[in-house]
Amino acid sequence: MYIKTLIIINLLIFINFVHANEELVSYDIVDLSIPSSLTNEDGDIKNGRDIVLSRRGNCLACHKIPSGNDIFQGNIGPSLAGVGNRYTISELRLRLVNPYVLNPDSVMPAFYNVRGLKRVDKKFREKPILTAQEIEDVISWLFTLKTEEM
Amino acid sequence: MFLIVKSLLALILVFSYNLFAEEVSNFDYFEKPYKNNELKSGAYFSREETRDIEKDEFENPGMIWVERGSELFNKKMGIKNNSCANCHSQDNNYLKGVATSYPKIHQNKLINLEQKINMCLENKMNLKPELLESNNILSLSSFITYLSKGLPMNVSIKGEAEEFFKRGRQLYFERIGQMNLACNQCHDNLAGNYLRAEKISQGHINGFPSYLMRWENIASVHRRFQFCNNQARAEPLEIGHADYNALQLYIAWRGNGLPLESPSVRR
Ligand code: HEC
Ligand code: HEC
Repeated sequence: MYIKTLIIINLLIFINFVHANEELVSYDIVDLSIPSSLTNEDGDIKNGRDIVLSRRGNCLACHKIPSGNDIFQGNIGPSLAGVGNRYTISELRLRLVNPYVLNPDSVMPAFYNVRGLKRVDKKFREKPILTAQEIEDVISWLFTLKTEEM
Repeated sequence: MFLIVKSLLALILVFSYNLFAEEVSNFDYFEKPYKNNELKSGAYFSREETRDIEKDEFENPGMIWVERGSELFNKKMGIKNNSCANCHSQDNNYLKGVATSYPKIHQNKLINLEQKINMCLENKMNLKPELLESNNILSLSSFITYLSKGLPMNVSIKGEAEEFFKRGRQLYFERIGQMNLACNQCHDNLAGNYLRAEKISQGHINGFPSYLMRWENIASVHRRFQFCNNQARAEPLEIGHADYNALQLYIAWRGNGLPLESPSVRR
């Protein structure tokens, strides 16, 4: 029993270790956008919506977002209504992956980045806020937001 | 050969960058984000219901700690059978105003009020020091701070305090955590805006120890720092950490002039 738990604990540490060292997908920035997808799979629009509206993405902390039934929506960033009209998928990708390219002082975090960060909590060290696939999911839903209506 | 030139160039670059950084930061070291007439306590930004609870001393849950602190202050303790009141006069007036000047320098170190209380327990009353975030320490610090209610914050950053002040200022502007956020990004640039349901204040500490309804407990300044660190997904420091004291000094100075309001009530 004791040995078994030890093995499991070791395995868990090992998996964590592997995860922690996982390289992020590299990408090219072209004309203030990231033209190629970070994964080989299409974005899952429904999952993207879930991420944006839940604590997973926590986008509501700063943005007003259509169909965010939550009455508590932040107003630190611009409203995301119509954002699919204002930007292409490639431009949206850069805004999520690394907004500092556009505004180095942005309060919006880079959702797919582990570099240049200080004093990151152990739980989150060497991990991006969202995975490559989650980024693709999120931008596929954002791109469906075509009207300014909330 | 090429390598040497390259590394020399790199050295020069690094060096000139440092010079430049030094110049810029010295330039506005003592500039405050809010002028005296723009300073607003956290109560100004909190909800009306919350503010009403804070104002009514019978309803304000923080007053429980003040009362408990008052009892402790007058209680005879330890082998010397001494009370705080024995040294600090019967009518407590002696400690009136004291809370406005913390954190302050004590034997070359910067200490806050909770640490000072612990020093008295240990050195003057031969008692064991308590955990800084314990009920007893927070009760005593709430009571002592309450004695200064309405008096303006007035910390000094002169002399030995200056280097701690500079460290605190640096920490205040340093982006940390997975969210890569610095205190100034929210409390200097976004005060009045909403972070979800929460209206961001100027981030002053004139209301501490402060009663937080979400925890149903009183919180020290350092506990609040830990909470803001958590939200940036940054590693929090220990309560009583020298860096938190430095940060506390910078934030107190930036709010010098605001009347003490402890126990304030927040969500
Ligand atoms: C801590 C605050 C914060 C969070 C959290 C945040 N954003 Fe932002 N966002 C901003 C700000 C501020 C801007 C404005 C541009 C800038 O300053 O970088 C912005 C800009 C944007 C833009 C460009 C909008 C435009 O009209 O130009 C998009 C798209 C966006 N954010 C999507 C998201 C999504 C999706 C999430 C969650 C997965 C998110 N943001 C989370 C603060 C935030
Ligand atoms: C992403 C935004 C954000 C960042 C970054 C942030 N805070 Fe806060 N802070 C808040 C919010 C929201 C509150 C709760 C509302 C209020 O009182 O301002 C708060 C409250 C506070 C308070 C209590 C104010 C009161 O009147 O009760 C203090 C003090 C404070 N923060 C200090 C800091 C310090 C120090 C840092 C950096 C280590 C920091 N904050 C970083 C958003 C932030």
